[in-house]
Amino acid sequence: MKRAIAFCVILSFTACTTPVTIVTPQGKIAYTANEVLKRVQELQQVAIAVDATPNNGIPKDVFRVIITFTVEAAKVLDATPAGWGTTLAVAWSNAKGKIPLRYLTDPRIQTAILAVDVALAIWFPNGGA
Amino acid sequence: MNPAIILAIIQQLLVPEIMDIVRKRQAANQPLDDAAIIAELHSRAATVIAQGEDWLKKNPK
Repeated sequence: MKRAIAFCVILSFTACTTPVTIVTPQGKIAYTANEVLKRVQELQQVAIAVDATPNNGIPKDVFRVIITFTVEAAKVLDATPAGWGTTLAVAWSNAKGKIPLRYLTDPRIQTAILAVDVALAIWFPNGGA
Repeated sequence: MNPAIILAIIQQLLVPEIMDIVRKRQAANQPLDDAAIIAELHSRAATVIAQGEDWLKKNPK
């Protein structure tokens, strides 16, 4: 558990610095949005992979909540790369509220969930989940 | 030599040099510019949306 959290934090910290080759405000905004979207994509891929595992013990509804969130998050990040913060933070908070704790902390998806938490905390500290 | 002096030398001379080398290597290894990152964002979003909607279609409520 501690290693997973440390991994998530390190992974997110490596994304904190915008590359020197990105110079315009639009580029920097897109870079931030893309870094958050990477964690959202990872969460979606993990959810789909675990769902595909027979007898995984997690209700289909849990995966449906997660993947509905990841699709909506991708749309928001793509459409409003500069204004995704509040929308995404609220959507993520609502999605997690629909998932029972025992599934949120399932080790197969927990790391990916934490990565989204950490990414939002870093890139949107005032409203991240 | 006084450890404080050693630390000061490291901080004032070595760290900026190391950071400069890191930045140059980063720039050399990362051809990512503004146009490329914007394109990557759109491409990644399209992939996530397509994959997610496909799963949701195959797993209706």
